[in-house]
Amino acid sequence: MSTVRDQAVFDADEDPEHLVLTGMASDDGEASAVPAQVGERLGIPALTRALDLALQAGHLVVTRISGQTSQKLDLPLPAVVSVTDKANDPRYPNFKAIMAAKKKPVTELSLLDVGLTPVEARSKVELVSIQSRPARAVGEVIADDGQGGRRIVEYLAKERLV
Amino acid sequence: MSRGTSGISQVLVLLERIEGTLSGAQAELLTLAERLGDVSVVTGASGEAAGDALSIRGVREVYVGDGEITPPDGALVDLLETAVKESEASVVLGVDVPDAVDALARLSVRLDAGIITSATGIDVDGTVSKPVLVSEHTCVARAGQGPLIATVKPNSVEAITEKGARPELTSLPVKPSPAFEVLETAPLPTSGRPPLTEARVVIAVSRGVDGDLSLVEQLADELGAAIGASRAVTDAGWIDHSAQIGQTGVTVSPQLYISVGISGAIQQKSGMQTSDVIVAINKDEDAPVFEIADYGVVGTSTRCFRR
Ligand SMILES: Cc1cc2nc3c(=O)[nH]c(=O)nc-3n(C[C@H](O)[C@H](O)[C@H](O)COP(=O)(O)OP(=O)(O)OC[C@H]3O[C@@H](n4cnc5c(N)ncnc54)[C@H](O)[C@@H]3O)c2cc1C
Repeated sequence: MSTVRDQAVFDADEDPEHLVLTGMASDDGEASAVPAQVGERLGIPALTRALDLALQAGHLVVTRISGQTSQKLDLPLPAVVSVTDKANDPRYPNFKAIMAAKKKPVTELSLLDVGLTPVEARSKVELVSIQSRPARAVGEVIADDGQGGRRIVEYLAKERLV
Repeated sequence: MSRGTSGISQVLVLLERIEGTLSGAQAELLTLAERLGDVSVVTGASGEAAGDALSIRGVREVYVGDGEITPPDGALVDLLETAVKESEASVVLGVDVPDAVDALARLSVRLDAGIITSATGIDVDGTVSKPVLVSEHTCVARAGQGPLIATVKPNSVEAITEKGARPELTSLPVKPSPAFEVLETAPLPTSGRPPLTEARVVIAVSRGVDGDLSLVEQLADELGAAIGASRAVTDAGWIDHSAQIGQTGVTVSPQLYISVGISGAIQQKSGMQTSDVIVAINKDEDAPVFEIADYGVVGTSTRCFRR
């Protein structure tokens, strides 16, 4: 249900070398719409779901999947790029780094700071209802007595799945 | 859902690319669109390719660009925006794949509208259902302002398309204008099996197969199944990343999902728990996958397959 209202936090003309890096999707709605929407608001390209990315002087090389092809693209900055979990191996911080990170300055911006009214920041999608999925009925679990494969085939035949 | 003067919704379907014939997911999308109103299509494909593939009953009009426009070229969004104006669409739909989500997400900003992705159903009253929170919940939503913009998951409706007359082709004055240079393209490995997200049967494998896929491939071919994997396998490089099922891979909803030696972590479940029937093989009787399996066998995968 994604609605993005990012006012330009940087000016693409003044900051030609800027790279906006995002994750792949949110954990809740999994829409993956924000990177492209941010790109649109900033008026710059967005390449999503990078499997691999390399930053070279003023430009990026991004590998991603598009339809049934893998594509390697060279893109000048500024740009938005979202990454998949294939893009790198996470480096987990040690205790010292975690403490140091706590001292990093954090700038909080209010809606007013970015020139938005609460009405403008409202979702453009209306939620009608939300329901938990009915739990899956508990199935039958058997121990493999050497006939496991056959049992599966029998089950599939009974359920008319093969 | 706002309606045109005729009282019928104008539905614009984005098919970002057309490769020969329509894919199963594209045919499904057209079937769904037809239930909602008058259907026109916008595509980055050439007029010729589009005309051939879209000679389908119910497709009234097809909008193409001035030259082939291939994702992720931003010109696709210009084409889409122009086609929305031309068709006066109040509903704009795409298949739930990254390139379509990206183009429609940009469109939503231009039209000051919202976007609903991963829809599994759209009603004529304009309400859309979609799974959220690793598919543990289903929510129903509708457009709050502007047109309804949504992407639809494959395997959500049964595709029923009938051959029809060639649609009317309108070429819009939008030329390709990629902001990037293409260094390399390579087709993804093909197996001759159905695409993972569209297959009616999916076999998903993990460490239990120890990198040897021959038995699984044989079974897949017998069942007409697609082969997917957990992240443990795609990380190990036995199978391409495009076959990863789960939160950071693809979501599948087949009639039958056979899980072989996969623990069933929440991020994996998220990509498969809306399958109709789940069969699981795992040597660990406490594996979480058994909590959602309709039929489970506690045992080693190779032993089960040999039978
Ligand atoms: C942000 C995030 C995103 C993620 N996204 C995804 C995703 O998209 N998809 C995904 O799959 N995971 C994803 N994961 C990883 C996920 O948490 C699990 O680590 C992963 O699914 C484990 O894969 P597995 O069950 O195949 O492997 P393991 O955890 O190694 O489990 C192997 C299983 O195989 C069984 N087994 C071993 N040998 C045999 C045998 N011979 N016969 C039968 N059974 C056997 C074992 O009992 C065990 O249950 C994500 C994690 C995070 C943090």
